[in-house]
Amino acid sequence: MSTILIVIVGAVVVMVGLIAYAAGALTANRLGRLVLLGGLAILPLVVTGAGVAVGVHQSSQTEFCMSCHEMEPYGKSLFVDNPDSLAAVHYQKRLISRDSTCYACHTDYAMFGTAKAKLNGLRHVWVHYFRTIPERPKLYQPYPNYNCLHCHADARPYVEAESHREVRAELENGTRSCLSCHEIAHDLEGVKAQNFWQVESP
Amino acid sequence: MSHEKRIRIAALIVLAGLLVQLFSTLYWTPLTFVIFTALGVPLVLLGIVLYLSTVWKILKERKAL
Repeated sequence: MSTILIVIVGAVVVMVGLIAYAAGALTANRLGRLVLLGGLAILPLVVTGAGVAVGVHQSSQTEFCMSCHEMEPYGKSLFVDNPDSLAAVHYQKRLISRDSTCYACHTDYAMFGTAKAKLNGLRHVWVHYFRTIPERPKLYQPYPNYNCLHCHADARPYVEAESHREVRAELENGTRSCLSCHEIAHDLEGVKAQNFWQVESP
Repeated sequence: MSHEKRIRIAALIVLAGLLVQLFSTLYWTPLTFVIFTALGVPLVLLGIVLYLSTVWKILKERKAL
């Protein structure tokens, strides 16, 4: 997708360059004015919109998050052999897409969730370049239950679990956090101990 | 400033924005994504606004509006 966009943006760049060069001549006739309208307003707007869409998609990819070294232990935590680690279980059981592993849990499924996630990402970049990176990064706000319930609310393992029945109302109205029982989001101790799960050869 | 010059400046601003977008698109990282959205997109929008405002002025001068 990026390659096609690069080719299209490249073509529009050449065209706008030519328009800048011949702006005087183009204003003289009707066809020239149409070229100006298309080349200076419509096409750049379309290309920019497509670029933003591709950028939002690319910035939701696992490899994009992993391009910052601070995220390395969190990436490794996906491979930890610990059935209580939420990140590891979701990744290893393929409960979420492997292409957008981080984003699947760290976006907000409420209205404007994607925009909020991107703004949080902007804060990450700011801290990365201009602030002291904390030893253990923390979420900007407590993890909301509705993100878990977005997928689990009508899932059989959640609905039928005995432990959920008594507290289901509290979980759904957010007064009790899912993490109050499922405490280990990322097993960083397991990463330190290099306790990783590997597929056994047949 | 003449209308032609304003249109040429608008084209150069759009060009600058598109070039920033192009180089950001070559390799998506958190930094290039920020540069894309914080510099590339506003430059293109600024150029378009300048171009459209020039067209508006021309149309007003010709009493076409």
